[in-house]
Amino acid sequence: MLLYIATITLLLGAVLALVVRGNSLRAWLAIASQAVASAAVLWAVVPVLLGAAPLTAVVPWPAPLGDVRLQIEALDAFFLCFSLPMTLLGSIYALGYLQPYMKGKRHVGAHFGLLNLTALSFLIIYTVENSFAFLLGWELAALAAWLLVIWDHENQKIRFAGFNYLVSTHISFLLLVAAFVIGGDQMHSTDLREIGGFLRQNSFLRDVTFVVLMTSFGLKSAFFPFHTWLPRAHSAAPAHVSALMSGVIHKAGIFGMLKFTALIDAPPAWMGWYVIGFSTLSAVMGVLYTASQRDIKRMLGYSSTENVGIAGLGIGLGYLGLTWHQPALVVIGFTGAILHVLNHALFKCLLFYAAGAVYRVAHTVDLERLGGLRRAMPQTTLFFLIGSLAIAALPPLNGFVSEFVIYSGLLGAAAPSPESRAVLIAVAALLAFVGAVSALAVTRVFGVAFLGVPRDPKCVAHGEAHPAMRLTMAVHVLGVLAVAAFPLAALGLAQAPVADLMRAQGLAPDAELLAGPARSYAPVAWACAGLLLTLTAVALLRRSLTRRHAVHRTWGCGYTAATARMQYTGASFASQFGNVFEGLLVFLRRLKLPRGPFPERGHISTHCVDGVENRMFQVLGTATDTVTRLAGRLPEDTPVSFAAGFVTLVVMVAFLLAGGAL
Amino acid sequence: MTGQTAALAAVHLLALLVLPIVMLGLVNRVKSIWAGRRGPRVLQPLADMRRLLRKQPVYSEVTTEVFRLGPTVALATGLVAGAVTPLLGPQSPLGFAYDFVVFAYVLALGRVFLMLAALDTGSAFEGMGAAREATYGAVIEPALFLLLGGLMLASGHADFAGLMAWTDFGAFGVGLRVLGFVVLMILLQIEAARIPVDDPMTHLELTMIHEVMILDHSGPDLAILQYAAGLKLTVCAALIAGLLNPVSWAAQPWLAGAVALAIILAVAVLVGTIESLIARLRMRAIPGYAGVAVIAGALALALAALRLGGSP
Repeated sequence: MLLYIATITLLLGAVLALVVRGNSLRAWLAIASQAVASAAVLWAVVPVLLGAAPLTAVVPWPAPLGDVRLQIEALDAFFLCFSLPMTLLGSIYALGYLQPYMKGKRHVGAHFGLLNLTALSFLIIYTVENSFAFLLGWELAALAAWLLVIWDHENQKIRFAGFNYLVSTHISFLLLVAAFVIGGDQMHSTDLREIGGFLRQNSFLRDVTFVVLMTSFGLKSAFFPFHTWLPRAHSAAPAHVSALMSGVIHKAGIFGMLKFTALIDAPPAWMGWYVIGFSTLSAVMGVLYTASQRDIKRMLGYSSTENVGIAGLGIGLGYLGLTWHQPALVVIGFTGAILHVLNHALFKCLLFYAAGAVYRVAHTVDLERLGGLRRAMPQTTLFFLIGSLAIAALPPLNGFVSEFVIYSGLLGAAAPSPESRAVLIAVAALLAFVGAVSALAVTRVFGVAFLGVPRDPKCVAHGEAHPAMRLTMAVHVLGVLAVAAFPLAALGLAQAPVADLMRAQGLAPDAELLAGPARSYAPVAWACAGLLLTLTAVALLRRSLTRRHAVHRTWGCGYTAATARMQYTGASFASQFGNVFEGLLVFLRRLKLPRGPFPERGHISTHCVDGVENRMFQVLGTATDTVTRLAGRLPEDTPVSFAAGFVTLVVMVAFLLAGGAL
Repeated sequence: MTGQTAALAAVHLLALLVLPIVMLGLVNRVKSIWAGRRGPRVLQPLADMRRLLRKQPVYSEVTTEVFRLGPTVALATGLVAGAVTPLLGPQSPLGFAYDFVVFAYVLALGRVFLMLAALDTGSAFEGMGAAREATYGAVIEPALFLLLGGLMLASGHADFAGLMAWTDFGAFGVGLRVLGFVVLMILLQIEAARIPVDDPMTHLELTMIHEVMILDHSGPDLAILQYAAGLKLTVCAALIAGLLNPVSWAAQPWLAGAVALAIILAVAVLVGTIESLIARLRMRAIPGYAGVAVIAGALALALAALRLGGSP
C-alpha cells in the first residue's frame, strides 16, 4: 500500500514540477514528493531488511505483461533503502548546483521531474518479479539518466557523451532482453521466478544465458572493458547526476548479479572464476586510469569501474563458496559485496558532490588549473578529504570495512586445492596494489586541487559552495562516519539479504554463520579504535610541543622567485607512475617546444585517453577498411568471389544443421 | 600466563619506543666505521631529537592544518603498525586473523598524510618527493601480500603471530625464507627510505624521496618525522627477524626474544653496510627494483602452492 502511495506521489511530483510556475516551486514540489515517497518506502521496507517476512502483492495487468507480481525481499529492501533517500539528497543538491538557472528563463522542472522518474525506476526494478516490468524499469532508468546527462545539451561534447551512454546502455538492455527471451521461451513465462527455474537447469544454453546476463550487468555497472561510456558521461553530466549514476543508478547492475545469483543453482566453478577474473581486471584497470586523469569527475568515473570490480570480487567469492559448499565463504563474499555497494554509494556521491561544488565555485574541474581551494572552501575541503580517505579504503573509514571482509575471503582457507588458494591470494595481492594506487590517485587529486596555492588566476574560488550543496555533502559524510563508527552494525545490515540469497540456494544459514564477517572484523574495529586513540594522544602531545610557531615562506631550496605556476602539477605527479605502466595507459601529448635563440611561446598538454575506446575505434576503422577493400575486389577477383560464396554457404549449412539439432 | 603476556606486551612497547632511536644511531655508527671515522654515539639521534623538540617550528604561510596533521598521523600509524607487528618473538599486543592487512593499510594511511603535507607547501620539490613516494609505495604493495600469502599456505596460519612461529627449516623452509628476506629487505629500503632506493644523507633535493617531502618541517615536527622513520625501519627489521628467527617461541620465549632483538640489530648493521658500499639507484631503476620484490613474492607463493599440491 505504502509503495503505491510512493509511486503515485512520485508521478504526481513529476507532473507538478512540469506544470506549476516558477522554478523554485517546481524544484521544491519534486523534492517534497520524493521526501514523501522515500519516507513511505523506508517505512514499508526497513522491517524487511531487519528480518521481517517479504512483502508481496500482485498487480493485475492486461496482456502482454500478464499479472505483475511484486515481491520485496531483504536484498530488494537493502537497495531501496539507500537508493531513494540518496536520490532525494541528489535533488536537494541540485537546488544549489542549478542555482544559476533557478532565476533564469530555463525550465528546471523537467530536470527535477526526471529525478523523480529515476526514483520511480528504482521502485520498479527492485520490486517487480515480472521480466517485462523489470525491463520497463530498466529502460526508464536509462532514459531518465540520459536526459539528465545532457542538461548542457548545447555543448556538442556533452551531446556526444550522452549518445555514447545511450548506445551502451541499450546494448546492455538488448542483452538483458535476449537473456529474458531465452529463459522465458524455455519456461513459457514472464515471471522472474519461473525464468530462475531455467537458470537452475544445467545446460549449455543456461551457461550462455549466464554470460549474456553478466555482460549486460557488466555494461550497466561499467565493468572493464565495458566502461568506455562512463568517463565521458560522468564528466559531461551535472555533478548530482554523475553522483546518482555512479553511486546509485548503476548499482542496479550489481543488484542484477546478486538477484540472479540466487536463481542459479550450485553454480559450476567456472562461473565464480569468470566473475573474479572480470572483477580483478576492472579493479586493476580502473584504478590505473584514475591515477592519471586531469578531470576530477573523469577520475571519479574510472574509480567507479574500480569499485564495482571490488564489489564483484565479493560476488565471485560468493559463487565459489556455493560451488565448494563453503557457507562461510558465501557469507563473506556476499556480505563484502553488499556492504561495498553501500559504502561506494556513500563516498562516491560525496566526492562527486564535492567536485560539483568545486566546479560551481572555481568554474573548472581541470586539475592543472586548480589549486589552493582550501582557503576559500574549508568545509568542502574537509568533505573531500574524508571521501578521499574512505575511497582509498584507508582505516578507520568505511571503505576499509568492506575491503577487509573481501580480503578475509580471498585469503581464507576455503579453497579446496592449494593452486586455487594461491590464485585467490594473488588476487588479494592485486587488490592491495589497487588500494595503493587508489591512495596515490586521491592524494594527487586532493593535494593538487585543494592544497598549495591557486595555479590559474581565472579559476580562483571565492567563498564556499551553496548551502544546499554543503548540506548534502555533510549528510553523506555522516553516512561514511556512521559506517566507520559502527562497522559491526553495518555488517549486520547485510545479514538479512545474505540469508535470503542463501535460502534461495537451499542452504539454511544460522545466526552464527551470518555473523562470521562481523566476528572477524571485531578485532579490526578494536585496532581502529586504538589507532584513533593513538592519533589523539600524538596530536595532543604535538600541540603541547608546538604552542608557539613562526610563519615564513615555503623553503624554495635556495630559489627565491618561485611562482604558483611552478608547483608540482597533476600531470607531473602522475608521470612517473604512468611511465611504469605506459603499456597499459594511453597518453595523448600535444606539444610545441620553444626552439632556437628567439623562441616563440611553446605549449604542452597531456591527456590520458581511454585505451579501450581508442582501440575500439581503431579496430572498427581497420575492419571497415578491410571490408571495403575486399568488397571492391569481389566483382573482378574470381578467387575472392568464390571464397566469399563458400563462406556464405558454410554459414547457411551450419544454421540449417543447428536448427535441425534443436 | 596472563602475567607473562602482560610482561611481554610491556617489553614489546618498551622495545618499540626505544628501538627506533637505537636503530638510527646504529646505522649511522656503522656507516662511520666503514668510512674510517669513530662516529657519533649510538644514542646520538636521541640528543638530536631533544634539541629539535625544544625549537620553535616555522610554518610556511601557504600551509594549512593538513600540514600539521602530517607528522601526527605518520607517528600514530607507525606506532599502531608497530603494535600489530611481532617484535621480539611471534607475539604482538594486537594480533588477530589477517592483521597484516591492517598493518599494510595503516602504513598506507601514514604515507598518504605525509604526501599531503608535502603537497600542502606548494613546493615543486616536495610535490616531486610525494609523487615518487606514491609510485614506489604502490609498486611494492603486492610483494608483501604475495610473500605473506605464501607463508600462510606453508604454515596454515593467517596472522603475523602464526606466520612468524612457522619453524620449518628444511630445504623448502630455507628457500621460502631466502625469498622472504629479499622481499622484506626491499620493502624496508622503500618504506624506511634507505639506500639503494633513497639516500637519507644526500644534499641535493632533486635526488631525494623521503627527505624532500619533509623539507618544510622543522622543530618538533621534524623530530617526530625522524622518529617515525626510525619506527618504520624497526618494524620492517622486526618482520625480517620474525621470518629468520630459528628459536622456537613456544619452548624458550625469552631466548627467542633475545635472538629476535639480535637479528633486528643485525639488520641495522646490514643497512649501514649496504649504505657504505653501494650507490643509490637511478630513480628510473627503482620501479624495476621493486619489481624484483614482487617477483620474489610471487615465487614464494608459487613455491608454497607447488609444495602443498605435490605432497598432500
